[in-house]
Amino acid sequence: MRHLPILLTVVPLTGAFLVPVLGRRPDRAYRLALLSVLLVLACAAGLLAMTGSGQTLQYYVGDWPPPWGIEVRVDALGAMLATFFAFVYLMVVLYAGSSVRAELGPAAQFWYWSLLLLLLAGINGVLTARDLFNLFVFTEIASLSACAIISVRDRLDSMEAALKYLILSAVAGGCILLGVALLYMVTGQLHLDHLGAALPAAAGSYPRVLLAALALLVSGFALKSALFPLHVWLPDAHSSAPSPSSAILSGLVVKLGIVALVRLFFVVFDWRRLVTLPLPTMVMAMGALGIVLGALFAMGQRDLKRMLAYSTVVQVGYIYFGLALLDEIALTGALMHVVNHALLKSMLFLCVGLIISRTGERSTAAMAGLARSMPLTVASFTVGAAAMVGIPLTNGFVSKWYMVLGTLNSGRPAMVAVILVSSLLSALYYFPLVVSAYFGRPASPQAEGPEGPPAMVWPVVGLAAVCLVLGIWPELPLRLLGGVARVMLGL
Amino acid sequence: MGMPLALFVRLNYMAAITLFLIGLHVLLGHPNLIKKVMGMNIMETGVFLFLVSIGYARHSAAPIMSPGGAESGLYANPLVSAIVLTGIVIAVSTTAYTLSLTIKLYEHCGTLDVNRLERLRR
Amino acid sequence: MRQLGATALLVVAAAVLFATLAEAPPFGWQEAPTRNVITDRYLAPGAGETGVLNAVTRIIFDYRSYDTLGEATVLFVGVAAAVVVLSGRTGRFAVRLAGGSDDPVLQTVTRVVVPLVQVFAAYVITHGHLSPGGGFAGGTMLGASFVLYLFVFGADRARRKLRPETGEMVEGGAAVWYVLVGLGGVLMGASFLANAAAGFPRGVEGALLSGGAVWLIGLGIGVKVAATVANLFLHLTGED
Repeated sequence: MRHLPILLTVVPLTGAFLVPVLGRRPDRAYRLALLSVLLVLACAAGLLAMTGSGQTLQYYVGDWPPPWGIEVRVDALGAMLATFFAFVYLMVVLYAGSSVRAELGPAAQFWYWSLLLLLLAGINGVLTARDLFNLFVFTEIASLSACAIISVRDRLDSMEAALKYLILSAVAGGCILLGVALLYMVTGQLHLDHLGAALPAAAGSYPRVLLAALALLVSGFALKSALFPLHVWLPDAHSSAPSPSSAILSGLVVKLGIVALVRLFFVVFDWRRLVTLPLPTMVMAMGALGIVLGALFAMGQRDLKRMLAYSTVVQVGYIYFGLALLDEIALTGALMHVVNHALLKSMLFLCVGLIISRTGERSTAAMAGLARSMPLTVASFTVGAAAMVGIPLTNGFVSKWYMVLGTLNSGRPAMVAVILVSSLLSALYYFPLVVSAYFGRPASPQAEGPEGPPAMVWPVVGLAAVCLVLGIWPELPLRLLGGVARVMLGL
Repeated sequence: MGMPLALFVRLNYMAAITLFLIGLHVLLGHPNLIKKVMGMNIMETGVFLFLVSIGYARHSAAPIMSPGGAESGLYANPLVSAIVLTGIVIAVSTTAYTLSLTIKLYEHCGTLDVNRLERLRR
Repeated sequence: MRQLGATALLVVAAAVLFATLAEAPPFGWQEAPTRNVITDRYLAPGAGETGVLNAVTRIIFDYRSYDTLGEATVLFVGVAAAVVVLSGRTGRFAVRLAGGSDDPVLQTVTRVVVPLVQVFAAYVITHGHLSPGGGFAGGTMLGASFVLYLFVFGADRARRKLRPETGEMVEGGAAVWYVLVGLGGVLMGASFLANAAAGFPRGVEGALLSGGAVWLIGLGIGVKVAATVANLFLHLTGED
């Protein structure tokens, strides 16, 4: 039981390394991936049960106590995100089990499972890291494997999008490492808590070094999480990847930069000192711009996957906006939105994947009249669209409602308009699709038969069901995240 | 201490940061993919030089102990060397992957210029 | 436009970073903030609590071994990604990188040099805890000897020496070995990747077989890095 925190990364790593050892057999690799993800989900759920009672689990890797060794720590936030991310992963792996055969070549199929597991290890490593350099290493694992699951598709646009993403990730990685170096230079520490403790003294002698380090780290992680206007790589990357990859990239990978920045703002750089800088206001402004302009871009898209990708820019904007308000309620809402968006966006990408594999088209027109031939997919899509807009009884409503309350609570009533306008804009690009799916006339005569392989349809339905459950009974996660927010703000 | 003198006693840091900036500029500004990869490596080398420079202390030796040694000489900081080693391996993997993407794109399009690649795609 | 934006970014970043540097702790300062209890413990004289003389090796394979596992993972990801991208190359502008050479001088010299390089690589890998070098440096040399062979004798003959499937298997196996050594610590009642704390023998100070888990991990890393380099070049130079 003591070893659960480290198992979150060790299990998927072992699975990924075993894939080539077992030979070039896609079916074995798939079963190995499924087993690893199930184990990770079990570990994460166990950790959630333990941290739910307010416990924080510390694990000294190699039995070296910090500041000499590396500590891995699971708090309520980490355990909750790990659990929901592992659940999303499980659904995506089940879906991909039958979709990759059509989308990828034989050599790529076998490596795809290994790369998915490596990405899961990277994600869990970032969620549990308590050491700045360790955080950097796992961020790089996640970024590199995120690019790799785009370029597995042997198509020119996927390769180009992966290259663009890779180059900007390298820029971000360079900035982050330089930021780490500057912080280490003036404090001599790498463990997050020890860094936080050493900073006030360092701020006296080296204020400008700390500012430069902060700027480098924020721009690096913001680039990796596609905060507007650093989102330029996202639409290409997320729309040209195979659908299961898109689901993971949009749902989970962009959140890693946000989690890293949450750790930096609230553990290393004391947020009370940060408010004396223009930084929170800048982040809030960029978030707000992303919310509004991202929605406008999304409206202009005729490609379903590109539209969803721009919608991710909007939702990332929401999360940053909620974080930068530095208010307990808004913070709870923002963290809840990390979970909600992970579930929603991966579900929507899988829906679109089903639609593409059935109709062979990826334009928004392909949705017309689909409700009759693909009832479950369209119903799930409707849940997702309603949640993105923020209709009550969906999980999207809960987090947006908390952010509105937090905005009012922190004394910025004017900013509520941003959230409301953006919800309106979201309605303008999501609802026409839903309406045309139910009432539109299909463009071409539709094939008879089931919607798709059951292994692809049921994961989507499962994700939609969890979205509804979280929308109707949000109390438990909200209580947990409220506790996290209070700890973070030191209340 | 004036600004020029302050920078002079930190010449190593300046060189490292200059390399970082040159690399960043090539990586973002140059249209040729191979040059971009070179820029990426120069940028990373700049960061590694910076890290190694942090670890140096005047008259310090390489951090390899002698057996049975009770002597406590001054050694260079081994932690930054370990960080640089990790960083180099990350840079190597990124470079290998970027180059393989570059080869693939070249074999399909016959060009290394990102502007022409973008035009070809449309 | 791209050029202009990059230049503007360069000017701003240069101004900020140089202003920052003017204030940084001076270069070579013996009382710099980085000299603290952490480095003191890392630089303990003799073989100390880890049984390793090379302080950098102490950190990468013992104190901060988890980072090194991550580092090995990044390498694995990079090569896996490259292998997937390079498999099935069918483009119109296909490039052949290694057709080999018929020059007898080149071939003879290579036949002599390759074993020497490999012996030295084996020395560097197995002595990483005592002297400069270690798994990463030695593994790269071992891989480089294969690359030399590949360029001189051509990709087809190199493929007969090492099939890509075998290379992938060795690479994955060596990475699994790292995890298994780490789990050995768990089985012995300590934490993941524990060395002396788990009861791995520290050995005689300065002996070849000393350092416990550090030596075992270094061996695995050497094999893994060599397989990675060889594998990468096999895929870079020809179709699968």
